[in-house]
Amino acid sequence: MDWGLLWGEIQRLSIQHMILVAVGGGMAIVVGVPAGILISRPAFGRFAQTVVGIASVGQTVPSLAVVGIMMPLLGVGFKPAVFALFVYALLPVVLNTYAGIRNIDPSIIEAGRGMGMTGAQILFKVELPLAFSVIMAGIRTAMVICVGTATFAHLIGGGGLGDLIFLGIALLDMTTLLAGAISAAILAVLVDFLFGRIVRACTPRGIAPASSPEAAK
Amino acid sequence: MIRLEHVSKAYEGGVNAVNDVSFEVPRGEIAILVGPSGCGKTTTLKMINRLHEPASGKIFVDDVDTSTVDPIELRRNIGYVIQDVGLFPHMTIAENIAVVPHLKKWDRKRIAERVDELLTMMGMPPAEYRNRYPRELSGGQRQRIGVARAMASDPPILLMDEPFGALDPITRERLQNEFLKIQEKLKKTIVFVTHDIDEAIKLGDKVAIMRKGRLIQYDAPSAVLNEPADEFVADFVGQDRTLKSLRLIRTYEVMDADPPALHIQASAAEALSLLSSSSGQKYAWVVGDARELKGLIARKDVLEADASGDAKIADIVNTNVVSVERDTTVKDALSEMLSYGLARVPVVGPEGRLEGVLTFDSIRKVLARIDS
Repeated sequence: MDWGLLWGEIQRLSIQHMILVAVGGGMAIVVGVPAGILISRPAFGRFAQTVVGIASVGQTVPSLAVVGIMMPLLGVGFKPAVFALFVYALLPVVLNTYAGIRNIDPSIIEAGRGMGMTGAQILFKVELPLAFSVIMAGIRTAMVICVGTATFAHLIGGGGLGDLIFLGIALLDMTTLLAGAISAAILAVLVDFLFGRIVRACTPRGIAPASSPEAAK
Repeated sequence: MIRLEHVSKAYEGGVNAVNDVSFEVPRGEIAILVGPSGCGKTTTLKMINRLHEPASGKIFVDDVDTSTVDPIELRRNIGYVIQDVGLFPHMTIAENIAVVPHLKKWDRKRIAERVDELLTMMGMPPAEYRNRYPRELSGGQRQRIGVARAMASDPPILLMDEPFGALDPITRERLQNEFLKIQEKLKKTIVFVTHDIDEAIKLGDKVAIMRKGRLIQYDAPSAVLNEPADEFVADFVGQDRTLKSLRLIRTYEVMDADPPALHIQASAAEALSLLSSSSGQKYAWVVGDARELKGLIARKDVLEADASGDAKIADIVNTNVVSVERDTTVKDALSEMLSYGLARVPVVGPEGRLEGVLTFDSIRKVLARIDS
Protein backbone atom coordinates (compact mmCIF):
# COMPACT_ATOMS: atom_id res chain seq x y z
CA MET A 1 0.00 0.00 0.00
CA ASP A 2 1.36 3.37 -0.99
CA TRP A 3 0.24 5.44 2.00
CA GLY A 4 1.66 8.63 0.53
CA LEU A 5 -0.38 8.19 -2.65
CA LEU A 6 -3.56 7.35 -0.66
CA TRP A 7 -3.10 10.42 1.56
CA GLY A 8 -2.67 12.59 -1.50
CA GLU A 9 -5.87 11.19 -3.00
CA ILE A 10 -7.80 11.74 0.24
CA GLN A 11 -6.75 15.39 0.25
CA ARG A 12 -7.52 15.99 -3.41
CA LEU A 13 -10.89 14.23 -3.31
CA SER A 14 -11.89 15.86 0.00
CA ILE A 15 -11.35 19.28 -1.55
CA GLN A 16 -13.25 18.23 -4.66
CA HIS A 17 -16.01 16.89 -2.39
CA MET A 18 -16.25 20.14 -0.48
CA ILE A 19 -16.36 22.15 -3.69
CA LEU A 20 -19.33 20.05 -4.84
CA VAL A 21 -21.05 20.62 -1.50
CA ALA A 22 -20.19 24.32 -1.36
CA VAL A 23 -21.37 25.09 -4.89
CA GLY A 24 -24.49 22.90 -4.80
CA GLY A 25 -25.42 23.84 -1.23
CA GLY A 26 -24.48 27.48 -1.78
CA MET A 27 -26.81 27.68 -4.77
CA ALA A 28 -29.55 26.09 -2.66
CA ILE A 29 -29.11 28.81 -0.04
CA VAL A 30 -29.03 31.61 -2.61
CA VAL A 31 -32.21 30.35 -4.26
CA GLY A 32 -33.94 28.70 -1.30
CA VAL A 33 -33.92 31.52 1.25
CA PRO A 34 -35.46 34.13 -1.09
CA ALA A 35 -37.95 31.51 -2.32
CA GLY A 36 -38.94 30.72 1.25
CA ILE A 37 -39.32 34.42 2.00
CA LEU A 38 -41.42 34.91 -1.11
CA ILE A 39 -43.92 32.18 -0.30
CA SER A 40 -44.19 33.44 3.28
CA ARG A 41 -45.61 36.77 2.00
CA PRO A 42 -49.37 36.99 2.54
CA ALA A 43 -49.86 37.69 -1.18
CA PHE A 44 -48.46 34.24 -1.97
CA GLY A 45 -50.44 32.54 0.78
CA ARG A 46 -52.31 30.19 -1.58
CA PHE A 47 -49.10 29.31 -3.40
CA ALA A 48 -47.33 28.40 -0.22
CA GLN A 49 -49.32 25.28 0.60
CA THR A 50 -48.66 23.88 -2.87
CA VAL A 51 -44.95 24.62 -2.70
CA VAL A 52 -44.64 23.21 0.80
CA GLY A 53 -46.54 20.11 -0.33
CA ILE A 54 -44.33 19.52 -3.33
CA ALA A 55 -41.20 20.20 -1.30
CA SER A 56 -42.23 17.72 1.38
CA VAL A 57 -42.86 15.03 -1.21
CA GLY A 58 -39.55 15.90 -2.92
CA GLN A 59 -37.68 15.22 0.29
CA THR A 60 -38.87 11.63 0.34
CA VAL A 61 -37.15 10.90 -3.01
CA PRO A 62 -33.92 8.95 -2.27
CA SER A 63 -30.75 10.94 -2.85
CA LEU A 64 -29.34 8.25 -5.12
CA ALA A 65 -32.42 8.59 -7.33
CA VAL A 66 -31.94 12.36 -7.58
CA VAL A 67 -28.35 11.85 -8.73
CA GLY A 68 -29.51 9.13 -11.15
CA ILE A 69 -32.15 11.35 -12.71
CA MET A 70 -29.54 13.98 -13.56
CA MET A 71 -27.56 11.75 -15.91
CA PRO A 72 -30.14 11.38 -18.70
CA LEU A 73 -31.03 15.05 -18.30
CA LEU A 74 -27.64 16.74 -17.99
CA GLY A 75 -25.08 14.07 -18.84
CA VAL A 76 -22.07 13.33 -16.69
CA GLY A 77 -19.43 15.36 -14.87
CA PHE A 78 -19.22 18.13 -12.30
CA LYS A 79 -22.19 20.22 -13.39
CA PRO A 80 -24.92 17.55 -13.20
CA ALA A 81 -23.52 16.44 -9.83
CA VAL A 82 -23.69 19.98 -8.49
CA PHE A 83 -27.18 20.38 -9.86
CA ALA A 84 -28.35 17.20 -8.14
CA LEU A 85 -26.96 18.46 -4.83
CA PHE A 86 -28.61 21.83 -5.40
CA VAL A 87 -32.00 20.23 -5.97
CA TYR A 88 -31.67 17.99 -2.98
CA ALA A 89 -30.50 20.74 -0.61
CA LEU A 90 -33.08 23.25 -1.82
CA LEU A 91 -36.03 21.66 -0.05
CA PRO A 92 -34.97 21.93 3.60
CA VAL A 93 -33.78 25.49 2.99
CA VAL A 94 -37.10 26.61 1.48
CA LEU A 95 -39.18 24.75 4.03
CA ASN A 96 -37.31 26.07 7.04
CA THR A 97 -37.22 29.64 5.77
CA TYR A 98 -40.97 29.52 5.22
CA ALA A 99 -41.72 27.82 8.54
CA GLY A 100 -39.33 30.07 10.47
CA ILE A 101 -41.04 33.21 9.23
CA ARG A 102 -44.58 31.91 9.50
CA ASN A 103 -44.11 30.72 13.07
CA ILE A 104 -43.28 34.18 14.38
CA ASP A 105 -45.87 35.36 16.89
CA PRO A 106 -48.31 37.43 14.77
CA SER A 107 -48.58 40.06 17.52
CA ILE A 108 -44.91 40.92 16.94
CA ILE A 109 -45.58 41.59 13.27
CA GLU A 110 -48.73 43.52 14.11
CA ALA A 111 -46.79 45.68 16.56
CA GLY A 112 -44.28 46.44 13.81
CA ARG A 113 -46.98 47.37 11.33
CA GLY A 114 -48.80 49.45 13.93
CA MET A 115 -45.64 51.43 14.61
CA GLY A 116 -45.29 52.33 10.96
CA MET A 117 -42.59 49.93 9.80
CA THR A 118 -42.65 49.24 6.07
CA GLY A 119 -42.90 45.69 4.76
CA ALA A 120 -39.17 45.63 4.00
CA GLN A 121 -38.29 46.97 7.47
CA ILE A 122 -40.43 44.30 9.11
CA LEU A 123 -38.76 41.62 6.95
CA PHE A 124 -35.16 42.65 7.57
CA LYS A 125 -35.38 43.96 11.14
CA VAL A 126 -37.94 41.61 12.60
CA GLU A 127 -38.84 38.54 10.58
CA LEU A 128 -35.41 37.47 9.36
CA PRO A 129 -33.62 37.98 12.69
CA LEU A 130 -36.36 36.06 14.50
CA ALA A 131 -36.45 33.26 11.92
CA PHE A 132 -32.65 33.18 11.71
CA SER A 133 -32.07 30.13 13.88
CA VAL A 134 -34.78 28.10 12.10
CA ILE A 135 -33.46 29.11 8.67
CA MET A 136 -29.92 28.23 9.76
CA ALA A 137 -31.16 24.86 11.04
CA GLY A 138 -32.50 24.19 7.54
CA ILE A 139 -29.22 25.23 5.94
CA ARG A 140 -27.28 23.10 8.40
CA THR A 141 -29.42 20.04 7.61
CA ALA A 142 -29.10 20.73 3.89
CA MET A 143 -25.32 20.98 4.03
CA VAL A 144 -24.89 17.82 6.06
CA ILE A 145 -27.19 15.90 3.71
CA CYS A 146 -25.15 17.33 0.82
CA VAL A 147 -21.90 15.90 2.20
CA GLY A 148 -23.49 12.47 2.25
CA THR A 149 -25.24 12.75 -1.10
CA ALA A 150 -22.06 14.06 -2.76
CA THR A 151 -20.53 10.58 -2.38
CA PHE A 152 -22.92 9.50 -5.14
CA ALA A 153 -21.48 12.16 -7.45
CA HIS A 154 -18.90 9.55 -8.42
CA LEU A 155 -21.64 7.59 -10.19
CA ILE A 156 -22.17 10.39 -12.72
CA GLY A 157 -18.51 11.35 -12.95
CA GLY A 158 -18.67 14.20 -10.49
CA GLY A 159 -15.68 13.09 -8.43
CA GLY A 160 -15.40 13.55 -4.68
CA LEU A 161 -14.80 11.02 -1.93
CA GLY A 162 -17.25 8.67 -3.62
CA ASP A 163 -14.37 7.84 -5.98
CA LEU A 164 -12.48 6.20 -3.12
CA ILE A 165 -15.52 4.46 -1.66
CA PHE A 166 -16.74 2.94 -4.92
CA LEU A 167 -13.18 2.05 -5.97
CA GLY A 168 -12.74 0.25 -2.65
CA ILE A 169 -16.03 -1.62 -3.17
CA ALA A 170 -15.09 -2.62 -6.72
CA LEU A 171 -11.62 -3.84 -5.73
CA LEU A 172 -12.77 -5.29 -2.40
CA ASP A 173 -10.08 -3.04 -0.90
CA MET A 174 -11.15 -2.19 2.62
CA THR A 175 -8.36 0.37 3.13
CA THR A 176 -9.38 2.47 0.15
CA LEU A 177 -13.08 2.08 0.97
CA LEU A 178 -12.61 3.16 4.59
CA ALA A 179 -10.32 6.02 3.57
CA GLY A 180 -13.20 7.45 1.55
CA ALA A 181 -15.99 6.58 3.98
CA ILE A 182 -14.25 7.87 7.11
CA SER A 183 -13.16 11.07 5.36
CA ALA A 184 -16.75 11.72 4.24
CA ALA A 185 -18.01 11.08 7.78
CA ILE A 186 -15.45 13.48 9.24
CA LEU A 187 -16.39 16.14 6.71
CA ALA A 188 -20.08 15.79 7.63
CA VAL A 189 -19.31 16.15 11.33
CA LEU A 190 -17.09 19.17 10.66
CA VAL A 191 -19.76 20.88 8.54
CA ASP A 192 -22.37 20.24 11.22
CA PHE A 193 -20.07 21.60 13.93
CA LEU A 194 -19.20 24.67 11.87
CA PHE A 195 -22.81 25.61 11.22
CA GLY A 196 -23.72 24.95 14.84
CA ARG A 197 -21.05 27.44 15.83
CA ILE A 198 -22.23 30.03 13.33
CA VAL A 199 -25.80 29.78 14.62
CA ARG A 200 -24.71 30.14 18.22
CA ALA A 201 -22.47 33.09 17.48
CA CYS A 202 -25.11 34.93 15.47
CA THR A 203 -28.24 34.36 17.57
CA PRO A 204 -29.06 37.41 19.72
CA ARG A 205 -29.10 36.76 23.46
CA GLY A 206 -32.78 37.69 23.62
CA ILE A 207 -33.84 34.62 21.65
CA ALA A 208 -30.98 32.19 22.28
CA PRO A 209 -32.42 28.87 23.49
CA ALA A 210 -30.06 28.28 26.43
CA SER A 211 -30.37 31.12 28.90
CA SER A 212 -27.11 32.85 29.65
CA PRO A 213 -26.16 33.70 33.26
CA GLU A 214 -27.42 37.27 32.82
CA ALA A 215 -30.74 35.96 31.58
CA ALA A 216 -31.22 33.87 34.68
CA LYS A 217 -31.53 36.71 37.13
CA MET B 1 -58.49 65.15 18.33
CA ILE B 2 -59.96 62.08 16.68
CA ARG B 3 -63.27 62.08 14.85
CA LEU B 4 -65.07 59.18 13.21
CA GLU B 5 -67.90 59.98 10.81
CA HIS B 6 -70.32 57.22 9.81
CA VAL B 7 -67.57 54.61 9.63
CA SER B 8 -68.54 51.13 8.47
CA LYS B 9 -66.55 48.03 7.71
CA ALA B 10 -67.94 44.77 6.36
CA TYR B 11 -66.24 41.42 6.64
CA GLU B 12 -66.43 38.73 4.02
CA GLY B 13 -69.83 37.12 4.12
CA GLY B 14 -71.57 40.47 4.41
CA VAL B 15 -71.57 40.68 8.20
CA ASN B 16 -71.04 44.25 9.26
CA ALA B 17 -68.14 44.28 11.67
CA VAL B 18 -68.59 47.98 12.24
CA ASN B 19 -71.81 49.70 11.30
CA ASP B 20 -72.17 53.46 10.94
CA VAL B 21 -70.06 54.45 13.94
CA SER B 22 -69.50 58.13 14.70
CA PHE B 23 -67.81 59.69 17.70
CA GLU B 24 -65.28 62.33 18.59
CA VAL B 25 -62.47 62.22 21.12
CA PRO B 26 -61.45 65.73 22.20
CA ARG B 27 -57.76 66.50 22.55
CA GLY B 28 -56.24 65.17 25.77
CA GLU B 29 -59.11 62.82 26.64
CA ILE B 30 -59.41 59.06 26.94
CA ALA B 31 -62.24 57.38 25.08
CA ILE B 32 -62.82 53.74 25.97
CA LEU B 33 -64.40 51.38 23.45
CA VAL B 34 -66.06 48.62 25.41
CA GLY B 35 -68.37 45.75 24.59
CA PRO B 36 -68.61 41.98 24.36
CA SER B 37 -66.17 40.21 22.06
CA GLY B 38 -67.04 40.53 18.40
CA CYS B 39 -68.72 43.89 18.92
CA GLY B 40 -66.31 45.64 16.55
CA LYS B 41 -64.32 47.62 19.08
CA THR B 42 -60.89 46.37 17.97
CA THR B 43 -61.81 46.76 14.30
CA THR B 44 -62.87 50.33 15.01
CA LEU B 45 -59.55 51.00 16.74
CA LYS B 46 -57.50 49.54 13.91
CA MET B 47 -59.26 51.69 11.35
CA ILE B 48 -57.88 54.77 13.07
CA ASN B 49 -54.28 53.88 12.17
CA ARG B 50 -55.42 52.18 8.97
CA LEU B 51 -54.43 48.65 9.91
CA HIS B 52 -57.97 48.14 8.64
CA GLU B 53 -59.45 50.35 5.93
CA PRO B 54 -63.03 51.50 6.47
CA ALA B 55 -65.46 50.49 3.74
CA SER B 56 -67.25 53.79 4.09
CA GLY B 57 -67.15 56.86 6.28
CA LYS B 58 -64.30 59.12 7.21
CA ILE B 59 -61.81 59.28 10.04
CA PHE B 60 -60.13 62.53 10.99
CA VAL B 61 -57.06 62.97 13.13
CA ASP B 62 -56.57 66.63 14.02
CA ASP B 63 -59.02 67.51 11.25
CA VAL B 64 -56.95 65.71 8.60
CA ASP B 65 -58.76 62.96 6.70
CA THR B 66 -56.58 59.88 7.40
CA SER B 67 -57.35 58.36 4.01
CA THR B 68 -55.31 61.17 2.43
CA VAL B 69 -52.22 60.42 4.55
CA ASP B 70 -49.59 57.77 3.81
CA PRO B 71 -50.46 54.96 6.26
CA ILE B 72 -46.79 54.43 7.22
CA GLU B 73 -46.41 58.12 8.07
CA LEU B 74 -49.77 58.10 9.89
CA ARG B 75 -48.79 55.14 12.09
CA ARG B 76 -45.44 56.64 13.03
CA ASN B 77 -47.33 59.53 14.58
CA ILE B 78 -49.82 57.40 16.47
CA GLY B 79 -48.67 55.31 19.42
CA TYR B 80 -49.96 51.75 19.35
CA VAL B 81 -50.16 49.31 22.26
CA ILE B 82 -51.59 45.79 21.97
CA GLN B 83 -52.60 43.15 24.48
CA ASP B 84 -49.85 40.73 23.52
CA VAL B 85 -47.38 43.61 23.78
CA GLY B 86 -45.49 42.37 20.72
CA LEU B 87 -42.07 43.43 21.95
CA PHE B 88 -39.30 42.34 19.59
CA PRO B 89 -37.65 39.45 21.47
CA HIS B 90 -34.31 39.82 19.66
CA MET B 91 -33.90 43.44 20.66
CA THR B 92 -32.99 44.87 24.05
CA ILE B 93 -35.47 46.96 26.00
CA ALA B 94 -33.70 50.12 24.83
CA GLU B 95 -33.79 49.01 21.19
CA ASN B 96 -37.47 48.13 21.50
CA ILE B 97 -38.35 51.54 22.85
CA ALA B 98 -36.22 53.18 20.18
CA VAL B 99 -38.00 51.58 17.21
CA VAL B 100 -40.08 54.56 16.16
CA PRO B 101 -37.44 57.25 16.94
CA HIS B 102 -35.10 55.12 14.86
CA LEU B 103 -37.58 55.00 11.98
CA LYS B 104 -37.86 58.77 12.27
CA LYS B 105 -34.06 58.98 12.06
CA TRP B 106 -33.45 60.72 15.37
CA ASP B 107 -29.77 61.02 16.24
CA ARG B 108 -28.34 58.47 18.66
CA LYS B 109 -27.88 60.83 21.58
CA ARG B 110 -31.46 62.02 21.42
CA ILE B 111 -32.73 58.42 21.23
CA ALA B 112 -30.64 57.34 24.22
CA GLU B 113 -31.90 60.27 26.28
CA ARG B 114 -35.49 59.56 25.34
CA VAL B 115 -35.15 55.86 26.23
CA ASP B 116 -33.79 56.71 29.67
CA GLU B 117 -36.49 59.29 30.22
CA LEU B 118 -39.24 56.78 29.39
CA LEU B 119 -37.73 53.99 31.48
CA THR B 120 -37.55 56.38 34.42
CA MET B 121 -41.15 57.42 33.84
CA MET B 122 -42.18 53.74 33.90
CA GLY B 123 -40.39 53.30 37.22
CA MET B 124 -37.73 51.02 35.72
CA PRO B 125 -34.18 52.32 36.42
CA PRO B 126 -32.52 52.70 32.99
CA ALA B 127 -29.14 51.40 34.14
CA GLU B 128 -30.74 48.18 35.25
CA TYR B 129 -33.21 47.57 32.43
CA ARG B 130 -31.82 49.24 29.30
CA ASN B 131 -29.84 46.23 28.11
CA ARG B 132 -32.18 43.47 29.19
CA TYR B 133 -34.24 41.43 26.77
CA PRO B 134 -38.04 41.20 26.86
CA ARG B 135 -38.03 37.61 28.11
CA GLU B 136 -36.08 38.71 31.16
CA LEU B 137 -38.99 40.90 32.33
CA SER B 138 -42.25 40.10 34.09
CA GLY B 139 -45.56 40.48 32.29
CA GLY B 140 -46.27 43.80 33.95
CA GLN B 141 -42.83 45.16 33.11
CA ARG B 142 -43.22 44.07 29.49
CA GLN B 143 -46.52 45.87 29.23
CA ARG B 144 -44.88 49.01 30.67
CA ILE B 145 -42.25 48.77 27.94
CA GLY B 146 -45.06 48.32 25.42
CA VAL B 147 -46.54 51.62 26.59
CA ALA B 148 -43.12 53.30 26.66
CA ARG B 149 -42.45 52.14 23.10
CA ALA B 150 -45.76 53.58 21.94
CA MET B 151 -44.90 56.93 23.52
CA ALA B 152 -41.28 56.98 22.37
CA SER B 153 -41.59 59.64 19.72
CA ASP B 154 -44.09 61.55 21.85
CA PRO B 155 -47.07 61.10 19.53
CA PRO B 156 -50.11 63.19 20.50
CA ILE B 157 -52.37 60.17 19.99
CA LEU B 158 -52.28 56.69 21.49
CA LEU B 159 -54.31 53.65 20.46
CA MET B 160 -54.43 50.92 23.07
CA ASP B 161 -55.95 47.50 22.40
CA GLU B 162 -56.66 45.78 25.73
CA PRO B 163 -53.21 46.74 26.99
CA PHE B 164 -53.80 45.39 30.49
CA GLY B 165 -56.00 42.46 29.49
CA ALA B 166 -53.43 39.70 29.91
CA LEU B 167 -52.19 40.79 33.35
CA ASP B 168 -53.14 39.45 36.76
CA PRO B 169 -55.65 41.64 38.65
CA ILE B 170 -53.11 43.18 41.03
CA THR B 171 -50.64 44.12 38.31
CA ARG B 172 -53.49 45.39 36.15
CA GLU B 173 -54.73 47.62 38.94
CA ARG B 174 -51.24 49.01 39.48
CA LEU B 175 -50.63 49.66 35.79
CA GLN B 176 -54.01 51.35 35.42
CA ASN B 177 -53.12 53.72 38.24
CA GLU B 178 -49.69 54.45 36.79
CA PHE B 179 -51.30 54.98 33.42
CA LEU B 180 -53.74 57.55 34.83
CA LYS B 181 -50.91 59.37 36.58
CA ILE B 182 -48.86 59.55 33.39
CA GLN B 183 -51.89 60.64 31.40
CA GLU B 184 -52.57 63.43 33.90
CA LYS B 185 -49.17 64.87 33.02
CA LEU B 186 -48.99 64.12 29.29
CA LYS B 187 -52.60 64.68 28.24
CA LYS B 188 -52.53 62.40 25.22
CA THR B 189 -55.60 61.81 23.11
CA ILE B 190 -56.28 58.12 23.67
CA VAL B 191 -58.61 55.52 22.23
CA PHE B 192 -58.56 52.45 24.43
CA VAL B 193 -60.26 49.11 23.84
CA THR B 194 -61.34 46.79 26.64
CA HIS B 195 -64.03 44.22 27.35
CA ASP B 196 -63.93 45.09 31.05
CA ILE B 197 -66.59 47.65 31.98
CA ASP B 198 -64.88 48.32 35.33
CA GLU B 199 -61.68 49.28 33.52
CA ALA B 200 -63.69 51.45 31.13
CA ILE B 201 -65.36 53.34 33.94
CA LYS B 202 -62.16 53.78 35.86
CA LEU B 203 -59.99 55.02 32.99
CA GLY B 204 -62.34 56.72 30.57
CA ASP B 205 -63.25 60.37 30.18
CA LYS B 206 -65.80 59.00 27.73
CA VAL B 207 -67.07 55.45 27.37
CA ALA B 208 -68.31 54.09 24.04
CA ILE B 209 -70.41 50.98 24.48
CA MET B 210 -70.59 48.87 21.33
CA ARG B 211 -72.69 45.90 20.36
CA LYS B 212 -72.73 43.97 17.08
CA GLY B 213 -70.83 46.68 15.27
CA ARG B 214 -72.99 49.53 16.45
CA LEU B 215 -72.22 52.27 18.92
CA ILE B 216 -74.99 52.11 21.51
CA GLN B 217 -73.95 54.86 23.89
CA TYR B 218 -71.10 57.36 23.99
CA ASP B 219 -71.06 59.24 27.23
CA ALA B 220 -69.19 60.13 30.38
CA PRO B 221 -68.76 57.14 32.73
CA SER B 222 -71.16 58.58 35.29
CA ALA B 223 -73.81 59.04 32.62
CA VAL B 224 -73.33 55.46 31.42
CA LEU B 225 -73.77 54.25 35.00
CA ASN B 226 -76.69 56.47 35.90
CA GLU B 227 -78.54 56.80 32.62
CA PRO B 228 -77.88 53.71 30.51
CA ALA B 229 -79.24 54.23 26.99
CA ASP B 230 -81.02 50.90 26.84
CA GLU B 231 -81.41 47.54 28.50
CA PHE B 232 -78.27 46.18 26.90
CA VAL B 233 -76.13 48.93 28.37
CA ALA B 234 -77.81 48.60 31.76
CA ASP B 235 -77.13 44.85 31.69
CA PHE B 236 -73.58 45.32 30.52
CA VAL B 237 -72.84 47.89 33.18
CA GLY B 238 -74.21 45.49 35.77
CA GLN B 239 -76.43 45.64 38.82
CA ASP B 240 -73.83 46.96 41.23
CA ARG B 241 -73.87 50.42 39.71
CA THR B 242 -73.60 52.23 43.01
CA LEU B 243 -70.47 50.31 43.92
CA LYS B 244 -69.03 50.95 40.47
CA SER B 245 -69.57 54.66 40.96
CA LEU B 246 -66.95 54.46 43.70
CA ARG B 247 -64.41 54.02 40.92
CA LEU B 248 -65.20 57.50 39.73
CA ILE B 249 -64.37 59.15 43.02
CA ARG B 250 -60.86 59.80 44.26
CA THR B 251 -59.96 59.32 47.89
CA TYR B 252 -58.93 62.94 48.42
CA GLU B 253 -62.41 64.09 47.47
CA VAL B 254 -64.06 62.31 50.40
CA MET B 255 -61.36 61.95 53.06
CA ASP B 256 -61.47 63.77 56.38
CA ALA B 257 -58.69 66.31 56.07
CA ASP B 258 -56.54 67.33 59.01
CA PRO B 259 -56.54 64.09 60.98
CA PRO B 260 -55.04 64.01 64.50
CA ALA B 261 -51.27 63.90 64.12
CA LEU B 262 -48.25 63.82 66.39
CA HIS B 263 -44.61 64.55 65.60
CA ILE B 264 -42.40 61.50 65.95
CA GLN B 265 -40.16 63.33 68.44
CA ALA B 266 -43.08 64.21 70.71
CA SER B 267 -43.09 62.90 74.25
CA ALA B 268 -45.62 60.54 75.74
CA ALA B 269 -47.02 63.40 77.78
CA GLU B 270 -47.80 65.40 74.65
CA ALA B 271 -49.40 62.32 73.16
CA LEU B 272 -51.56 61.83 76.19
CA SER B 273 -52.79 65.40 76.13
CA LEU B 274 -53.90 64.91 72.51
CA LEU B 275 -55.37 61.51 73.25
CA SER B 276 -56.98 62.44 76.54
CA SER B 277 -60.23 60.71 77.28
CA SER B 278 -61.99 64.08 77.29
CA SER B 279 -61.10 64.66 73.63
CA GLY B 280 -62.55 61.28 72.68
CA GLN B 281 -59.54 60.73 70.44
CA LYS B 282 -58.32 57.14 70.65
CA TYR B 283 -55.50 57.23 68.11
CA ALA B 284 -53.21 59.63 66.30
CA TRP B 285 -51.06 59.41 63.18
CA VAL B 286 -47.35 59.89 63.72
CA VAL B 287 -45.53 62.11 61.25
CA GLY B 288 -42.02 63.38 60.59
CA ASP B 289 -40.69 66.88 59.95
CA ALA B 290 -42.37 67.23 56.56
CA ARG B 291 -45.61 65.65 57.76
CA GLU B 292 -44.58 62.38 56.12
CA LEU B 293 -46.49 59.47 57.62
CA LYS B 294 -44.41 57.36 60.03
CA GLY B 295 -47.04 55.27 61.73
CA LEU B 296 -49.96 55.07 64.10
CA ILE B 297 -50.21 55.36 67.83
CA ALA B 298 -53.17 54.38 70.01
CA ARG B 299 -54.09 55.78 73.40
CA LYS B 300 -53.71 52.45 75.18
CA ASP B 301 -50.18 52.00 73.77
CA VAL B 302 -49.18 55.36 75.26
CA LEU B 303 -50.80 54.55 78.58
CA GLU B 304 -49.01 51.20 78.81
CA ALA B 305 -45.67 52.66 77.85
CA ASP B 306 -46.01 55.69 80.10
CA ALA B 307 -46.47 53.51 83.15
CA SER B 308 -42.96 52.19 82.61
CA GLY B 309 -41.26 55.59 82.48
CA ASP B 310 -40.92 58.57 80.18
CA ALA B 311 -41.25 56.88 76.79
CA LYS B 312 -40.76 58.63 73.47
CA ILE B 313 -43.33 58.33 70.70
CA ALA B 314 -40.55 57.11 68.43
CA ASP B 315 -40.17 54.02 70.65
CA ILE B 316 -43.79 52.96 70.79
CA VAL B 317 -45.12 53.99 67.39
CA ASN B 318 -46.63 51.24 65.27
CA THR B 319 -44.90 51.68 61.93
CA ASN B 320 -46.72 48.82 60.25
CA VAL B 321 -49.43 50.97 58.72
CA VAL B 322 -51.23 50.55 55.41
CA SER B 323 -51.89 53.81 53.58
CA VAL B 324 -53.51 54.78 50.29
CA GLU B 325 -52.48 57.53 47.91
CA ARG B 326 -54.63 60.59 47.52
CA ASP B 327 -55.76 59.81 43.97
CA THR B 328 -56.60 56.17 44.61
CA THR B 329 -60.21 55.49 43.69
CA VAL B 330 -62.53 55.10 46.65
CA LYS B 331 -63.37 51.63 45.38
CA ASP B 332 -59.71 50.55 45.57
CA ALA B 333 -59.29 52.18 48.97
CA LEU B 334 -62.38 50.39 50.22
CA SER B 335 -61.15 47.00 49.06
CA GLU B 336 -57.82 47.74 50.74
CA MET B 337 -59.63 48.50 53.99
CA LEU B 338 -61.74 45.35 53.72
CA SER B 339 -58.83 43.09 52.93
CA TYR B 340 -56.75 44.37 55.86
CA GLY B 341 -59.75 44.68 58.18
CA LEU B 342 -59.16 48.38 58.81
CA ALA B 343 -61.80 50.83 60.03
CA ARG B 344 -59.72 53.75 58.77
CA VAL B 345 -56.84 54.22 56.43
CA PRO B 346 -54.49 57.22 56.17
CA VAL B 347 -54.37 59.09 52.87
CA VAL B 348 -50.96 60.26 51.73
CA GLY B 349 -49.87 62.71 49.07
CA PRO B 350 -46.52 63.28 47.40
CA GLU B 351 -43.50 62.00 49.38
CA GLY B 352 -45.82 60.16 51.72
CA ARG B 353 -47.16 63.30 53.40
CA LEU B 354 -50.23 62.71 55.52
CA GLU B 355 -53.21 64.50 54.00
CA GLY B 356 -56.22 62.93 55.58
CA VAL B 357 -57.96 59.81 56.69
CA LEU B 358 -60.60 57.71 54.99
CA THR B 359 -63.15 55.97 57.17
CA PHE B 360 -66.15 53.73 56.54
CA ASP B 361 -68.26 56.62 57.67
CA SER B 362 -66.95 58.92 54.92
CA ILE B 363 -67.55 56.18 52.32
CA ARG B 364 -71.06 55.64 53.63
CA LYS B 365 -71.79 59.34 53.17
CA VAL B 366 -70.62 59.16 49.55
CA LEU B 367 -72.80 56.15 48.83
CA ALA B 368 -75.80 57.94 50.29
CA ARG B 369 -75.06 60.92 48.04
CA ILE B 370 -74.82 58.74 44.89
CA ASP B 371 -78.06 56.93 45.64
CA SER B 372 -80.08 60.06 46.23
